[in-house]
Amino acid sequence: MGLAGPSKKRKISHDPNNTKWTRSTGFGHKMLLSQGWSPGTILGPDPNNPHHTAASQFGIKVMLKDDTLGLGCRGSQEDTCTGLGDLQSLLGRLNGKAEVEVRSEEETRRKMWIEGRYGMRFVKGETLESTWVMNGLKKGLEEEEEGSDQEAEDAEEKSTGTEDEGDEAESSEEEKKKKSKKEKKRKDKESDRKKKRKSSDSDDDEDGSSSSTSEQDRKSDKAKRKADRALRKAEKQAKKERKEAKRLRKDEKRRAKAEKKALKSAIAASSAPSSTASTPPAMPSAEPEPLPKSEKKKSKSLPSSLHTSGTTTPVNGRQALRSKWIAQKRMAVMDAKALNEILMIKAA
Amino acid sequence: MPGERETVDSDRPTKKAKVSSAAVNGAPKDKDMDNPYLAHMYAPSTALSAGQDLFAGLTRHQTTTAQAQKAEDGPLNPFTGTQLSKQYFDILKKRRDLPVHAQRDEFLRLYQENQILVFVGETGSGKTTQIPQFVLYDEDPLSTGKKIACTQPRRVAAMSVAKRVADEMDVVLGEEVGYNIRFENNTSSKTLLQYMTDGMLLREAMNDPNLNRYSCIILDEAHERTLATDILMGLLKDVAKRRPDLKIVVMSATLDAQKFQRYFGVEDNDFNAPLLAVPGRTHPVEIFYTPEPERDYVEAALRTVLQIHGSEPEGDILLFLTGEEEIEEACKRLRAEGDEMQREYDTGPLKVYALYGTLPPNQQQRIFDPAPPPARAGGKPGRKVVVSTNIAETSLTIDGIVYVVDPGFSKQKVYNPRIRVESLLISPISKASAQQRAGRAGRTRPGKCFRLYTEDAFKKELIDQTYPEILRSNLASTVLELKKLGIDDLVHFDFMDPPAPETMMRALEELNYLACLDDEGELTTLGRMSSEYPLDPALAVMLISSSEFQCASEILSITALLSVPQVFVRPMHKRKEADAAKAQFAHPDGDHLTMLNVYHAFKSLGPGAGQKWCSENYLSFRSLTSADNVRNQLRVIMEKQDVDMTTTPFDDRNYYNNIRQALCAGFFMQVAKKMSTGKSYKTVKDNQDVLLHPSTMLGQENEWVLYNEFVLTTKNYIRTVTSVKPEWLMDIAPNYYDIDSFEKGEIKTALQRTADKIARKAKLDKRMQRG
Repeated sequence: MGLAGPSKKRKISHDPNNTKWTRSTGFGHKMLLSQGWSPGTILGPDPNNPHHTAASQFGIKVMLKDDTLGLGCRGSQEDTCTGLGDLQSLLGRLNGKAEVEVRSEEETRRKMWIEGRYGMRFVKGETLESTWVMNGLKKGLEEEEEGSDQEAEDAEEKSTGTEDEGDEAESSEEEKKKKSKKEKKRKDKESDRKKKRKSSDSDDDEDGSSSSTSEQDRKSDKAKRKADRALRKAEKQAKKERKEAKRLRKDEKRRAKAEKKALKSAIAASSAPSSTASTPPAMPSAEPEPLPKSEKKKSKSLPSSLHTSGTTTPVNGRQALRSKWIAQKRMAVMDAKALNEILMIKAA
Repeated sequence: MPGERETVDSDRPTKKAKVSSAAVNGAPKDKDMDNPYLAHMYAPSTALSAGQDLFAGLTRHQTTTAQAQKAEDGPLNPFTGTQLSKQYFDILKKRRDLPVHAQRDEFLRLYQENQILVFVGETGSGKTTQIPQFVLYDEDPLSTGKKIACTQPRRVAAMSVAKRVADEMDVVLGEEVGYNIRFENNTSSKTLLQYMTDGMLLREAMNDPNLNRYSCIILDEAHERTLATDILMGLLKDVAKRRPDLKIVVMSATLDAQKFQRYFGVEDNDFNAPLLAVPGRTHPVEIFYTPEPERDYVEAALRTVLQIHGSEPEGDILLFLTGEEEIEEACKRLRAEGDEMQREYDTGPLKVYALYGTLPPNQQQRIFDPAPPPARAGGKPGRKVVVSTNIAETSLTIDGIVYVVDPGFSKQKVYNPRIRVESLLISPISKASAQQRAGRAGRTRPGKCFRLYTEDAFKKELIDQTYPEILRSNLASTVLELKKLGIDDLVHFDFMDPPAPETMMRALEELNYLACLDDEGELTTLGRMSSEYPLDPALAVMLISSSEFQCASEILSITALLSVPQVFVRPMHKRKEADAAKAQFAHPDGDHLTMLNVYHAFKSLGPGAGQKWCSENYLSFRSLTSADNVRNQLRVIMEKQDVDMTTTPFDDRNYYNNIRQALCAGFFMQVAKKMSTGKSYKTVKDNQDVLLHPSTMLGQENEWVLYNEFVLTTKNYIRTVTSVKPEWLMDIAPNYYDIDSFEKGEIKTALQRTADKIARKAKLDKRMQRG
């Protein structure tokens, strides 16, 4: 801050946190002790409740804000470096991205600036989907998922029994094992969700339809779903007939892992608008937690609209390592501070 | 009439009772005739038979949507038996389109099968207005004689929703549908559905621990996690065990549902209460972020609003800012800029409305005005801008909003138990709040939300959920309430989010000093009396002990004035005039007395003269009238408790001294002493450096001052101060002013000197008596 800036003198008192009181053991302390509290623990009958936050133990710490700096804006202007976008594209080029790619990237970014007279520029982020329209869809989807899980098992069982016994049987059995393992894991993870779902839409609810109550509708709905199921069953079996089914799955698994990693590392870096799948916050069913497997299924059964997650190309071991490096590099490039350090830019 | 009412505690027998009575009577008209609620309504017998059809076959906890809908379809009002109006059917049509309605069947099934149900519906799903009505048709309150309560965190919401639902049911507000908020009870013996603030229900629970008047309790807006709602949830969990016939619906708007489910879950159900989710947003909302952090969020917000006005198609704008002052300033600038834009760029007219909690209701209503028409025929359509605090985030729904501008801040209460300061600070909102805000844009058609921060900031700087109020408040009055409710074990009370132990300790300590709790932690008589007042314990204690100082009436006025919004108005452009006006009422001994002078002057006016007088003297008419109202309510409680109301005559030498001493009786823990150097004061015991707030009428020369409020800014201020004497403090609160408990320093020395002086004086008196 220059000399012309307003000077802010602050006197900080001797013991602004009143540690004197904190250390003392007054009436309140005694009362709590007598009721079975021990220092360092939190109150309540269930101190291990996963929903409790640290605030229940230490209270809330707040920074006093007495300026109009926007969210995420720190300190004086000099510290923040602007115009890094161009630099990024330069670095991208240096990193071996094709000229065209870089240009198109820039183009799209430019398009995303929403020009205005008042000089406010915005970047488009995710879209909050309408929960009202989506509900039927999503619900249906969930059921499908559940259904298809079961069906998959069914189908597997059947497949061992019926059509292509011999050679397929082996692989499918193996698959089954794997699958059941996975299923278990998943079930564990999602048990909460499922239970909720089960309790909320048990037995006859299935239609999930939002409007009609008439039996007929329900029936037709059911029929539709049956048809749907049949279709998917067929698909599944067709898929199974392929010999690489096993390998594919392996690949998938690996990919999922890599994806997860990449996502984790890239999440911070990617300021690109398409970065994360849009997760409408409205419905508990739309939690962003679905495992990659189920995600895949979803994306198959539902054309695009739900998620637009970015780069997911299959990578094997070596490539995974490489992609990790790339992700790290990218992250460094996208972080203004790190970039400043790398390029030794002093605040302009 | 109450005698006729069936008083059955469990619901099963009731159901049977009703069925059998209908069967026995054969003619169903008699059934309705028997009903004390409907009896007076019935005139023509033709209407009767029709009315009977509406309600026949509706068995408590066995109703279906079809039955309820048939009853709703009229033509007679099933609750009053009168002809339904056209307006009713118009509204009914709209109600049937609400998202909740689609899941009425599912709701009823879950409701009937479970005692506690968690209901998640986004704002705009119609849950606040519709669910209580669904329950009403299922609970059959006319025969059980038990009411349905629906709690709201905000007074305004309770009032406006009750009004709306009364319209929807085609009944008079205050009869079948009413509301009950602090200092205002608009219900009657006929009331079946009662909207109330959560605090009011908590107060009721103090006198009726089983809440026997209710057959169903709906906790609405539970996601707001107000202090009272949190306590109520803990209580209701218990009550539910004692009263198996009581149904509880917890309604929430956000994704926090899992937490509620677990909280209300029971062990054998693996800790999961049943949940029903209903969609709310009807249209998608595109979200935009700024590419870089903004230097000035207010400036950026204004520019964004104007940019939207200039470049985006028709649709109203909602801008979230933090406080009254900021909002008024923004409105002023927007109006000016809007006019200019209309002149220079030929945009449509721009209408700007402010919205915040302390705004008078009639002005709050104005936000619902439609957007202005084009300025000239064929011109661009007008636009409405609402600049609001986070009040518009969940509790108020404004239709027509297409654009939301969200700077990412709101004013939030925080409590620091170490220095005992509760203050409203501007802090970043939570992710949940941000999504909630964005959702406001998708009510009428696809909308856009402009966030004035980067996507990165959204992910990294914002916490997931806003902290519940219980973690952000002084718990003194809560602990007192809990004690009154018979909950002694505060450590193991089932808080959804347990408060920090330090906060709890402070609360207990404060209550102990105030003599509301004895040294064993038991509620004292004073504590029991204090809990009757809807006030902070310090204020309540001050009120009760004012009779000792013969100034109950004056303290009553001061208490009322301290419980309403600031009475002094200080408009930006007329500060000097406002200060001059305030100086007329100034009392040299402090602000409490100044306020009292204002109140006395206000009361001495003739009827009808108040409004003009207030605006001339830069006073808030609304605050003063509501202070008057509060005063009356408090007086009722005082009279009920037989507090001696005799007062010192005004010309008595000790008139003001008595008042100041009575103030000490409640606020002895909020005292500061002037330091020997500089202007600063130091708070007693907590040792915080503070300054007198510039608004005070008190001179700088007073050594000991008592304050009402600690204002946390870059400098720490104490506001509403009155000078006191250390002798009084040591006399009134010997426990707190025990000299040995002070650490070495100016305050201890001063107190020691005072103690010596008192001792010397006592000795002198004794000698005089002897001599």
